[in-house]
Amino acid sequence: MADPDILTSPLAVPRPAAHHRRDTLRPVKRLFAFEELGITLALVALVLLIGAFHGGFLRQNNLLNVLQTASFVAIIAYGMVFLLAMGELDLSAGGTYALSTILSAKWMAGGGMNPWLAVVLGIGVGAGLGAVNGILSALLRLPLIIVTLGTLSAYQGLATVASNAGPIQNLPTGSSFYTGLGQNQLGLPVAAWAALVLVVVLSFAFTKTRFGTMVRAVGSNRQAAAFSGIPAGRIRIYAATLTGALAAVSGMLALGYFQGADPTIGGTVLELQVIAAAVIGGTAISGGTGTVPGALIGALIVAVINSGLLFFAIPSNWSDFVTGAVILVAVGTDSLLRHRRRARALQEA
Amino acid sequence: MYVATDVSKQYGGVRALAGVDVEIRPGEVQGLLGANGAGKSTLVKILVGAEAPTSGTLTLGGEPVRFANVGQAVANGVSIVSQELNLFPDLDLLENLFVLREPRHGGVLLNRREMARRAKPVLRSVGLGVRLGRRVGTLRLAEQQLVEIARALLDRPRILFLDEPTSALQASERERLLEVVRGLRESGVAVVFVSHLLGDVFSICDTITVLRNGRVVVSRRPRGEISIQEVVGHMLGDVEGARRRLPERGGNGTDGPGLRLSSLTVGSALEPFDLEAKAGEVVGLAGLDGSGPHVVFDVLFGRRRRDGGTVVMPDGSRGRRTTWGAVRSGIAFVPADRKRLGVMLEKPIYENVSLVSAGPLRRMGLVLRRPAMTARARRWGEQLRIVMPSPRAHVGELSGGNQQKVVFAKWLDAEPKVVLLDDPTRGVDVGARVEMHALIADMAARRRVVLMTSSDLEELADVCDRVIVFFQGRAVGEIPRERLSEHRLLEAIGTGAVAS
Repeated sequence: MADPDILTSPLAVPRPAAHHRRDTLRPVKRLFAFEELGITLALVALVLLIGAFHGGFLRQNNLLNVLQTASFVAIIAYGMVFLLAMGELDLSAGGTYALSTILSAKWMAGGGMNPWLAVVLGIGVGAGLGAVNGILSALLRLPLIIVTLGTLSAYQGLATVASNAGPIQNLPTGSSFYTGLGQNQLGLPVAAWAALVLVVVLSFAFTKTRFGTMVRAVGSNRQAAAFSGIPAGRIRIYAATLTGALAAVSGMLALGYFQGADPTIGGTVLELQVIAAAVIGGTAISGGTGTVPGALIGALIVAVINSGLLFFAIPSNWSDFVTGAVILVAVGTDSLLRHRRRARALQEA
Repeated sequence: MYVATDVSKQYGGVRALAGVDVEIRPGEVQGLLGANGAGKSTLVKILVGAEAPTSGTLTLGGEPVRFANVGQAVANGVSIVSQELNLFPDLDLLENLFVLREPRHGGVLLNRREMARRAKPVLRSVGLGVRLGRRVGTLRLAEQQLVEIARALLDRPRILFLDEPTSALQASERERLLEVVRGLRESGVAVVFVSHLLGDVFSICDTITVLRNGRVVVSRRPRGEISIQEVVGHMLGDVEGARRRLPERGGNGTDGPGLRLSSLTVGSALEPFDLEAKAGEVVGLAGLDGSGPHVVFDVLFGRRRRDGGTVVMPDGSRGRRTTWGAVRSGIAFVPADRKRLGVMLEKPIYENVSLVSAGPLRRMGLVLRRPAMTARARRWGEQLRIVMPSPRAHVGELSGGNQQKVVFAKWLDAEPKVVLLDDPTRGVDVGARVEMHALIADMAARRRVVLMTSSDLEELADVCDRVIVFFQGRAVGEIPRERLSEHRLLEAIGTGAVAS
């Protein structure tokens, strides 16, 4: 380590007194100050509110069902957090989900391939499709959102071609893949376990590793990051690959549970839920910051809203509108609260 | 006349201004000086309506005033041209001049003819002769600065604050700007000139005011009655400090392998350029904007393709063609544009400091531990005297000089072999400037190769062992240390002839 020890000469620079404040309540405060507190409370409030009107919503079966639906979305949203934190957006995750699931199902259909092997290959396909997004955007010098605007349809279209536009027949539903994923393990759906394990692993990767730090650095000031020697293009390929792989993981979990695959799965409906989950979770679309656990909460909120609508017997024509409106309220409230908190922090500083 | 009486400003527990009295008179150019954290920018913000004072009064022409925002101040004839350019690079010159107050046909269509009619005399007075439809992003920095001044002049201000107007300018452009300021004085405008460039302050200002620790220590002293040394002494609060010299450097670069460039060529921007810089040598590259030094830097740092020639690093390896590769091969680059390229303002200091060593250099492993990073930041903070509340504070909260020290810390933490410095002391105060010059000397003492360019020729003359002079893309000669002076450099870069 170099020590510029020549600077010991007392050059007269006025030095304001450091204001360190000791605070005994700090650990307690910290517990209640975690970033996702606001939306967690919102989630709890939403669940209780719906439960107050329709007790059936709180039944274990229903809650597990909501958890499972949310998990499929959350797992992809984790990857989206990395991309959003870089100031990028992948629109093709729904297509990646569809294509990798269809291919995997096709390979295992009719006793063709060991289902587990087909699943691993399917995840590999997802990662590959994500990498293609990243590489294309590096080669064409385009933001990922533009490249994936194209691959969104392209991947979904390939899924249609591969499946011959119909559901995959003759899935080996007797295999351990389907029996294992089809039922709850230790009281929770397998997808929920996957979502929980991944939230821990990826949250750690996002906040504590070199990769995560470089992702946030690029999103925070792309030019300064490049100027510091961070290979932004390569980091973007990694993040896009991660998102593709996670989309495939989510697809495999759904395949195991629903025991069926057709080319209409995934698509823009799933895609928008994923983006909504990440954004509701508190990841800024402008880059620099993000939260992986927030994406899980965000996915839960989306799933709760969708499920709650059924209980309120809202005419199906209106359900899309209501979903959208509730999302706007959720994101808007959070944004306004953050804004106020920041303004207050600035006042105090 | 604009008078501030007993103005104080409190930020939380920190007192930025403690009872300041200032008087600004028409037809007078007043220099406002002070080191980092002296309260200079706070005072200016209060005077131009960007902040409200905690206590104290402002009177304008005898009437007490209270501005809720900058717009109100402008309406009352008080304008500012700030150091950070607030221009829209994708809009053209006219659109930039009239943003939010465009003259319109019938309230809808832009009336460009009217804009041009009003803009022309102002542009002429600042000496900006570019096409009105030119996109502002394509103008050079100095020209953009003039656009900013022209925009302020459109409001016909009676009191104009110029915050570091000359620090980004080349010598000839600086002279033109000072001429503009003289013209304003003739027409009775009160000008407050805030700058770190003491030479400019002394060549233009009628009176000088110095702040230190939130108080006025020199009040409207006529220029003739005070010397640069005295002013520096007052700024630093240490009259002795002003006389301190650069630390002596033991023996100029002699042994050890250095950096070798042979026939480096970039289209018409750089004619074949050879350089052999020894380890421990500080080599200056001087030239007007676009004459070559920045091209050399950009090629070395992998930001620009070279058409020919070779680069050999001190360890014998070849020069890389990407920034990532350049950084990994041991090159550091302290950029002139600190906010855009140097730091991440919204990230904590420790992340900024560790960015290079933890990122591309992979020195801190796969998992980055925050305690290790804050410890490093704290140590650099002590060594470079970074004034910071804590290593976790965001870089954006620091003053300019301290932000620049964070940039130095980030690159020193990477232990580079070759250091490129582009205007390393732009916008920092005298005290921090002296410290940075000491840092540069220290880099050389540690056998690093230092290449430096600066718009401040006095700095080049002070710091470098030798300076290579560029003119229109060609290295035209070299001035050795013993013959270096600001005067000689100015002449050389302006004429392309190095007198022997």
